Amino acid sequence: MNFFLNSSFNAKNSGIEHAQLKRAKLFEKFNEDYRLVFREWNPLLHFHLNNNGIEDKYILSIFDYFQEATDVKRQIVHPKDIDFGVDDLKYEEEKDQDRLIVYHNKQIVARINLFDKEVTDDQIVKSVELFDGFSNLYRVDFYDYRGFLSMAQWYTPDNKIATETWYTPSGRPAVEDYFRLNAQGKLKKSGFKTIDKKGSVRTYNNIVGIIKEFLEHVNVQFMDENHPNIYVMDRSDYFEEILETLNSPTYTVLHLHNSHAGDAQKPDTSIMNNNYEYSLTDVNRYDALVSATEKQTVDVKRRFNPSIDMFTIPVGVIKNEDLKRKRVPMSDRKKHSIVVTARVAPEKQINKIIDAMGMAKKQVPDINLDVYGYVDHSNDDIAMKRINAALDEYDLKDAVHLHSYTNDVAGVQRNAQIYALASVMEGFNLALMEAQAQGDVGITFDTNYGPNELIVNNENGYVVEYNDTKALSDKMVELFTNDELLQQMSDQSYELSNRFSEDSVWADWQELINAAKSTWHDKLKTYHFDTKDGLSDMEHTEEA
Amino acid sequence: MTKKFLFVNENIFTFNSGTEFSAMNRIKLFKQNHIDAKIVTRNFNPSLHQEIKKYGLDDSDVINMYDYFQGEMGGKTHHEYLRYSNLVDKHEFKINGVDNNKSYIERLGQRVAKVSIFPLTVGEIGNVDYYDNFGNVASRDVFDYRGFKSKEIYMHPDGNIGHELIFNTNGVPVMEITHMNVGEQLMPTMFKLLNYHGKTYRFNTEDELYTFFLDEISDEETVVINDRPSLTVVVSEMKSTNHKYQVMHNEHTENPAEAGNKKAKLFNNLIPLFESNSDSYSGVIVPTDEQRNDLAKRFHKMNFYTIFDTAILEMHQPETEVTNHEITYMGRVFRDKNVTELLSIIPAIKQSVPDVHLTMMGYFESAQFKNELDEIIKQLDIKDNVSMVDYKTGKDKDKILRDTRVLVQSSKGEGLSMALIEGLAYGIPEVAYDVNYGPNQIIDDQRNGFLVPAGDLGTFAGKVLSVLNDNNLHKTQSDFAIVQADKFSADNVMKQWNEFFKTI
Repeated sequence: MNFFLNSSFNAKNSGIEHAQLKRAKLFEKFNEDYRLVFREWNPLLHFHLNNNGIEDKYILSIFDYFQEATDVKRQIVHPKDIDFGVDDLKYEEEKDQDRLIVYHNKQIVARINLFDKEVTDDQIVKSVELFDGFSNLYRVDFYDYRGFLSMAQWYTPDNKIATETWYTPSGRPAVEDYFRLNAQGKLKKSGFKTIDKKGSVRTYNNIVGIIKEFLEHVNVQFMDENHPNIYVMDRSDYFEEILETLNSPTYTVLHLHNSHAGDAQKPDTSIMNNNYEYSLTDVNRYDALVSATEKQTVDVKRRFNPSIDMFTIPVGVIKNEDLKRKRVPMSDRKKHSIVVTARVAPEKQINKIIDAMGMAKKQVPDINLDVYGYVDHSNDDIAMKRINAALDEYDLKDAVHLHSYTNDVAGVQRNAQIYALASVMEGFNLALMEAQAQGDVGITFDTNYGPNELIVNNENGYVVEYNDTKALSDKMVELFTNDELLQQMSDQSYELSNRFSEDSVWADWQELINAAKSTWHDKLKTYHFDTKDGLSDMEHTEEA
Repeated sequence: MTKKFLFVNENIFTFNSGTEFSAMNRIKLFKQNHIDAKIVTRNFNPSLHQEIKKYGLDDSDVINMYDYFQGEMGGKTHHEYLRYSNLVDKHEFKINGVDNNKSYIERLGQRVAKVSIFPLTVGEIGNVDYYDNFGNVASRDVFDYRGFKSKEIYMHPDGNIGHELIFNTNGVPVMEITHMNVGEQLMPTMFKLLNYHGKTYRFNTEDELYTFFLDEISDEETVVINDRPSLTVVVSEMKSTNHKYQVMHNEHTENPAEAGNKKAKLFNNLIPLFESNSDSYSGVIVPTDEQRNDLAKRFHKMNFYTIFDTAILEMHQPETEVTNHEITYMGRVFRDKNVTELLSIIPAIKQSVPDVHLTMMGYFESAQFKNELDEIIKQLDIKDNVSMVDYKTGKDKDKILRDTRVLVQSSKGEGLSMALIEGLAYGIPEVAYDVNYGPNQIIDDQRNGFLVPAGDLGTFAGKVLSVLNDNNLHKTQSDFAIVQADKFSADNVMKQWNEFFKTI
């Protein structure tokens, strides 16, 4: 089985989740089974994944596993479906709060909170705060979107959480954790416990123990001599420590989605990217390393000299139907237009793209930019502040349009001429790949990793010196003052997109799978399943 | 008669009082007479099906409320041995057997749980305490004697009980109990029945749940006989049947000597029966005519019946004359039983019978009270003449009674005095205070013992001494005790019940 390891999946996700989705669809297309593994409890996990076309059978959440909730037929739980065991109830709606208060004889019985309007317009129960007959809040229940009580938080008399319990859909407690005072007198999570179907109780110091238990079991459950258990760590937190020590054989893959170096422009010498520090230090304890660009593969090899298998596999895939789509000539697109589909975040340096536009404005007066993406307000809104300063400096308020996230990325890219990037660093940049598949001409700084490989300089766009805004501006002018050149490069954008065709990327994965297969039999040779003989009670006979 | 009978009680404890003994005696009597009857108990008790065996009851004689909702009404058919239990994943965890009473569960050198072995079993699981990272007991599994996980207790961070889950044998909770504050006091605040016939029921107290439960197992043909004054209200609130009776096992006034006085202060726990909830009871069953008359004079609207609250189901005639100097007190060793007076007669008796020996058999009010008694024994210098032995049942109890020359009782108030009736079956001469109510029903003065005016210690000591010293007297009194026993025979007590049945 192929396991793709991650933490969670939400309405808004980062590139890693997008990469997983694309890989998932690719595996489905080529009939290779897989599981998306998530370690965080998330009542909306299936909802969001289903919305992205992932069926339940491919979803393996660790909590689902212990909760016996991998395969649950959805039920709708409306507020009146909740049985409080109390008669004569009055429900008061608080519309603006998305909740109802439930009373019996003017005494509060419960507060029912509903799933947000962004999730559903129906009144579906998200959580229920429960009160006893003495008006103590004693418990808060959280419902899975699929319609069962998933987790309950049990409260102390002074209104703190003492115990959390996760239930199976049939109502059996399956996972528990506790909160206790530590040596400093602070209330902290102090342990976990699982109870399985057979009644076996296991305790763990923390969530890592639970993940390990999960992996130990799942790995044996899926053990198959013809299909290696391949674990792709897309987010390696916790998994990176556990997969080194599993009892049964695995083929473990560290997948880099970002620069291995803290400063991607100094890949050989800068301090390691903290996210990969542990796993790269232990890199030889895994079986393979994947990076999304050839450039990074070379850099990693040069710096760490790993002795394990190394593969370059793009994290983006362009579907055949998109590659075959009718091309849109530059003349049919918005004139002198630049598009960016990305989070408006400081490290994207969109302000530098605006600076470059400002410098180009004299030669290209109608130069314009459309940005689509959520605004990252972190760091005191520094990204927006910088953008606004650039807009003021170059008087570009009318030429630059900041839109929120769009669901029709391809549509806006298909209507633009240039896709510009000024990022500090990248892992691949799916948006650029997608823009190129729509014929956009790319321009970028020489940014590791992705932009400077997706864009082949002078072929489907330009890679200018890192942080050279003036050079970026010059390339804008060059392209927008030479229609023929612009069209030529757009044609190449379409052509070079074949690098990311389904067949091409699948061939890369097949290489990895074959490598795993070639070692699998050797790994199995030295592995022995736990014995089952001689362990059961042979001393006593029951009187039935 | 197609009626079925429920004897309502709190529990069958490890140490029981006359209330439970009376109910257990009654169920055996009814069974002998083929009358459908059950003892019903309220308390959660993992040892219940172990305890009732000590008293010769069958699993089907008792319906416990928790058993009922757990769907586990039967007896023990399974032994959950720790070493073979699924509870422990022995691939990952080690069982470190410390001794016969406990084992630790360990992983990589860390103690993660402590298993207490179920009392009086060999290696079966009792309680399991699970430790957290900080060494707290975060939760506790409570296993039933019958070999399944019955309850889990979760602690609040301060170590007090937080909430409890009661399970069916599939490990699914059928009930939740929360412990929260009422005012400043932590107490159980909710008993919630889960998915009972598809519905949830929330109760504020265990007693409200008990009423609900009693209604679930009753119909209009059910006759409910409540043995516990603490449950008077619970039974009175039942809706399924109107046949509700209270059995009294004690005198009704705080001062037993004043029991015949209509103005005398009632015990607080009887106020619901005689005042607030009297309307819902069809009658009150008392052990003696005297008490019935006193109550009838006082509470005109209520019906009273006399039925002995214990029957002699088995005789134990002595095979040989008991010639030792053994005195026995059997019963609760509590302050209200006035047991210290029994100690104070020993020095006087000792003067003429140096090897006199008093055995006090029963469960003690408290460790503190036991210490007080020890202190008195020391002061009176009668250490060699007194043994205080714990509560005994079955053969252990039988052995002590067989070797008893005189049975004594110094309480100032009784309902009937089951211990004295039990003494009759063994042919033991008895000395007791002539108090309300009972001793004068059992002891025919001078013929099978002596009745002594309450508080007259000198006479009490003298009468005990006379039986100890006089083999002939002992023999005559012992013989008459056997005759007197017939008054309380199963047949005679059943006759009283049959009279009562006609009135239902």
